[in-house]
Amino acid sequence: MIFKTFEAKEIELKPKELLKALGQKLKNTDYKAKAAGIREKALAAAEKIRGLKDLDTKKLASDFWNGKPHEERRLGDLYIPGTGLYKHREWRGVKDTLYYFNMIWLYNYVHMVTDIMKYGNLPDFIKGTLRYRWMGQTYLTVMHWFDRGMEGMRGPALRASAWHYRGMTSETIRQFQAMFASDKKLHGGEANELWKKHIAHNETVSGCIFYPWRDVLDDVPLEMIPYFVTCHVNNHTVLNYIDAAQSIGLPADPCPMCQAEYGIFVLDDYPDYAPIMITSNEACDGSVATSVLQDWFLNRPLFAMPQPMRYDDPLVQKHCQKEIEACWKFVEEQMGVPFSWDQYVKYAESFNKLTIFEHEKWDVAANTPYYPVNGVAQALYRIYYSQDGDRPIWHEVDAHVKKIMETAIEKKINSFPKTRHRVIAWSCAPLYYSNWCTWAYNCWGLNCVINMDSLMFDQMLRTDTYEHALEDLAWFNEKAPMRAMAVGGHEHIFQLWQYMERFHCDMVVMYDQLQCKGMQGIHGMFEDEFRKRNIHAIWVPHALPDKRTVSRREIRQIINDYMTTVMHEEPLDPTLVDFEDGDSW
Amino acid sequence: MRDLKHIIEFEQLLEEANNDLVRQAKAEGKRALGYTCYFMPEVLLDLPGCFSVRLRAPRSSSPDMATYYMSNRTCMYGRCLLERAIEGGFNFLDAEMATETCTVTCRFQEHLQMMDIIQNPDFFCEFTDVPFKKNENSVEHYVGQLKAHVLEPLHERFGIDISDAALLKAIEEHNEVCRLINEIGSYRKLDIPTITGREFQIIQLVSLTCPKYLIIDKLREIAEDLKHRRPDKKPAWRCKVVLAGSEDDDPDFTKLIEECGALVVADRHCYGSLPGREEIKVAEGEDPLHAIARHYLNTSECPRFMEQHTMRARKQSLADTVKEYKADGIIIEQMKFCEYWSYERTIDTIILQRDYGIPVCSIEKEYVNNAVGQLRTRFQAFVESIEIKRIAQTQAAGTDKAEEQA
Amino acid sequence: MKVIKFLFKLLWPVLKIAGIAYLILFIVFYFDLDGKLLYTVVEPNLARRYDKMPRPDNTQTPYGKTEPFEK
Repeated sequence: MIFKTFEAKEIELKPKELLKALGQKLKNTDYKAKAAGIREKALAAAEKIRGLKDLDTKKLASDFWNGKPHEERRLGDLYIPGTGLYKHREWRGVKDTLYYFNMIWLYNYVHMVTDIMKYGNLPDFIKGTLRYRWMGQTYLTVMHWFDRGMEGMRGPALRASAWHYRGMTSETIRQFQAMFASDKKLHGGEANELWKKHIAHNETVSGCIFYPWRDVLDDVPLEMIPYFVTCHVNNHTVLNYIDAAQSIGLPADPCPMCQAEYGIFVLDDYPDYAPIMITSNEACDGSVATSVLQDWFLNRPLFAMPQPMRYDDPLVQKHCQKEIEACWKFVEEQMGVPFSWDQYVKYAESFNKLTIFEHEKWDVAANTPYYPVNGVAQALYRIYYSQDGDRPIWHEVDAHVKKIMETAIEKKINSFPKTRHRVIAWSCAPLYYSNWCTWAYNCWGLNCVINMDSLMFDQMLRTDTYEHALEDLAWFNEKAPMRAMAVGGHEHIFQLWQYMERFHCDMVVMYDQLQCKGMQGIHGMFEDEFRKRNIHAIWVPHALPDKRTVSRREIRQIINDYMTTVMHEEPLDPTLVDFEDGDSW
Repeated sequence: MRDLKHIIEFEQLLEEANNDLVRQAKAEGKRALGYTCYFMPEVLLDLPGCFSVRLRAPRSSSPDMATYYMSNRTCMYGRCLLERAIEGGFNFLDAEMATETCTVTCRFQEHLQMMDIIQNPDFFCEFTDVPFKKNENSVEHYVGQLKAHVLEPLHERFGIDISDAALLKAIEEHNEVCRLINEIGSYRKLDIPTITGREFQIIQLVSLTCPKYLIIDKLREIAEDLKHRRPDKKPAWRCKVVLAGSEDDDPDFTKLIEECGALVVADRHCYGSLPGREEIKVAEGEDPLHAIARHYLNTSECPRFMEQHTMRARKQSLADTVKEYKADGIIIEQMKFCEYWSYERTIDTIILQRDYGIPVCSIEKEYVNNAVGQLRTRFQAFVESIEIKRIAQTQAAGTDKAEEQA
Repeated sequence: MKVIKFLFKLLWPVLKIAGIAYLILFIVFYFDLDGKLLYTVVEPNLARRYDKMPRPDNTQTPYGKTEPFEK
C-alpha cells in the first residue's frame, strides 16, 4: 500500500516493515525530551487560559454564531501547505456551517451514492472506477471541488452556488454511468443492447443536436467527463493524457485541451460505448485537427458537422442548416431510428426555459448587487448545461436557485458585500483554477460578475416550424463556447466593451491561454484598446488544463502584483495573498 | 546541370513582394490583390484588370512589431506577413482577399482590416467563408461566398468584369499557366530528374506572386529549355524525396534539403504545386464559378477537411505521390505553431511508415529558418537511413538470387 | 402514554446511534478527514494501479477506411 505524506512523498507501506519501523521509533525515542516538550505545551496552554479573561466573549459568541467578519477570517491559515487540504474546514457561523455540512457535504456525499443507483448500477461503477484513471482519481475528490468553489461564501451565495455544483455532479454521474453501462471494455469486449443505443459525440458538439432522439437514444459527449470535468475536480489526471498525446510525436504547442482529448485515446482510457461518433470544428483549428486522430483511434463511422467560420454572414446560414440536417440523416441511417420532430420540440421548448432563466440571472447580475451566484459556479454551470442540452437536473437546480435569488432580491441581501471591483473575465479560463474568482473575491474583493463563456449559446430555439427550428439551431451552434467570440471577425472578441457596460464592470481579467492561437493572435490589439479606453485589465496567463505551465500560485501572484502595484490596494485577507497549493486537486 | 533559363531573374523577383513585375502591372493600371491561402482561388483574382499576389515576406528577420500584436506563440508566417505589412511592404495592395482558413493568417488579415496599415486609399479587406467538406452543400456554399465576397466587391470597387465570359477567359489563361508548370514539373518524375526541387519551387512561387501575363512567355521558354536539358553525369543527390506539409515559400529550405543529398521531386505543401496546378475543367453546361469552386475544394489536400473518407484519403494520396514521383521517402515539415499540420504530421509520420512502408522524416520549422544546423543533421541522417535501407535491400536481393542459383 | 414510552424506548437507541454517527460525520467534515484519507491513501494507490495497468498500443489501430459513410 502507498501512503502519501503532506509533503507529497510517497511511502510504500508493508505491515512487517511498518511494525519494525514503529518498534525502532519507539526504541529510539528520547522520552525525556518528549516529556519536556509536553510540559512546555501544557504551560503555554495554561498561559492561554489565564489570558482568556481578557477576551471579548461577546465577540467570541458573535464569531461563533455568525462567523468571523471577512477581514478576520484568515482563510489561508486553514490550508495544509502544498496540499490544498484543510487543517479544518472553515467555520462560517452556526447556520452556514450546518447548512454546508448538511445540505452540501452530507447531501452530496449521499447523492453521490444514490445517483449511482439511480443512473446505473454499482458493479459497472466499480468496474469503471478501477478501469479508468479519469474516473477513479476524480470522483472521490468531488467534495473538495465544492470546498474550493465555496470558500468564504455565506448565505444565498453559498446556497445558490452549491446548487449549481450539485447539478453538475448529478449530470456527471448520469453521463459516466451511461457510458459504463454500455462500455464494451467493461463488458468483455462485447457490444450490448445499450451500446447500440448510444451516440458518442465530441464534447464541443451541442447536445441540442440530438433532441430528436432523446427519448430513445442517449447522446453522451465523449470527452466531457474524461477530460473537461476532471480538470476542474482533480487536475492531476489530465497531465497523463497531455503527456501521452506528445509521446506519439505531437509537438507541445497546440492547444492542450485538444492534446488531452486525444491523449485519452493514446492511453486507451476512453470508454467504447457507442457505434458512431459525431464531431465538429468547434472551437478552433486544433479541434478540427484532433478529429483526425480521434477518427483513427475510434475507427468507426464518424460524421463531421462543421459550422461556418464567418457566421455573421447571412449567406452561411443555409449551409450550416444543411450540415445539421445531414448529421440527422447520418444518425437515422446509422442508428436505424427515425428523426422525431415531436421529441425535438419537447426538448427544445424545455431548454428554452433554461435560457429564459439564464437571462433573468444575467439581468440580476448586471443591475443589482443581489446576484447570489459566485463567479466559478456561474461559469461552470452555464457552460456545462448549455453544452449538454436539456436534462431534468438543470430544471431542478434552476428552481432552487430562482427561489434563493428571489429571496435575496426581496430581502436585499448582498452576497458579495466586500466587492471593490466588478470584474468581467474574458477569453477561455484556466480549467485547473476555475475557482480563482472565489479566491480573488476573498483576498481582494474582486467580484467576477460574468465571464465570456457564460455569454455563449445566447439563442432561443423556435419550434413553430421546422424551418425556424433549423434556423435557430444553426445560430445556436455557431455561437458555441469559445467560438462565438473567438472566430468570425475581430468584432466578436471586442464585444467585451459592450458586455462591460451591460454588466457594469470596471475591471477585466483577461485570460491569456498561451496555446490559443486565436487569442494570442489578437493580444496586442487588446493591449492598445485597454490603454485607449483606460480600462484596468489583468492578463492571466495559463495553459487551460495544464497547471505545469503557469501554476495557480503564479496566477495569484500576477493578480496580487496588479492589485498592489497598480491599484495600490490592501488585501482583505492577507493570509490568502501567497500560499503553496501546487499538489492540490 | 547548366543554369535554367530565367531562373536567376525569377530568383530576384522573389526577393520582395512588390517586385519589378508587380510594379509594372500596377503601372499598367492593374489592381494588385493579395491573398494567403489556396482556398482563395487565384483564378478569380486574375480576372482582366487585376492580378493575384500570394503574400510572402521574403528576407524577414525578427518580426518584433508583429510579435507585440500577435505574441511569440503564433505561427511566424502570419507574424512575418504582419511585420512586412507594418513596415509598408504591402502598400502596393489594392485589396486583400481574405479567408478564415487557419487562425493566424486570419488574425493577420483582421489586423489589416482593423488597423490603418496598408497605405493605399483604395485598399479593402474582404473575408470569404470556406467550407470544411467537399460535398455538394459545400460547393454551393462556396460558390455563394466567392460571388458575394470576391467577385461582387471587385466589380463594385474596381469595375472588374465578372461575367461568365470573363471567368472563362481567366480559367483559360490560368490553365495555360498550370499546363506549363505541370510540364516543367513533370521532369521531376524522370528516373534522373532534369530539374531540381529548388528550381521548380522558384518557378512555382513566381507563378503565385507575379502577374501571370508577364511571366507566361518566360514559362514557355523554360518549358522549351527543359526539353533539351541533360542531367549531370553523376548527380549530386543520393535519394529522392517528397516534401509535404504546411506553409513553405522558402526556396532556401528546399536548397538545404538538397544540399544534404535529398532531391525534392514533389511539393505537397501550402505553396506547392501538388495540389495547386491542376487545370480547371468546366463541365458542359456548368457555370464557370461553380466549376472553380468545385475544383478548389476537390483538389485541396488541406488537413482542414473533416469528412472521414477525406481525412483518410489524404494519406493514400501522399503515398500515391511518392509512387508517382519515384521518391524514396517523405519529408513532412510543419511550421511551428501550425495546429492543423502538427496533428497531420503526427499521424502521417506513423501511418505512412506503418501502412505504406515509406520512410518519413518529420520536422518542425520556422518561417525564418534559423535552425539550419539542426535541420541539416536531421536531413543528413534521413538520407543515410534511406541509403542503408537500400543497401540492405540490395544485399537481401543478392542473397535470394544466390540461394536460387544454388 | 404507554405507546409514547414504547416508541421512545424503541427509538432511543436508534436516535443515539444516529446522533453519534452524525457527530462522527461532523468531525470527519470539520477536520477534512475525508480529504486527508483520499489524499494520503486512496489517490496514490489508485494512481499506482492506473500506472501499472497494461494498455494496448492504440497506434496499431488500422487506418484504411476510405468509403464515405455520409450519403
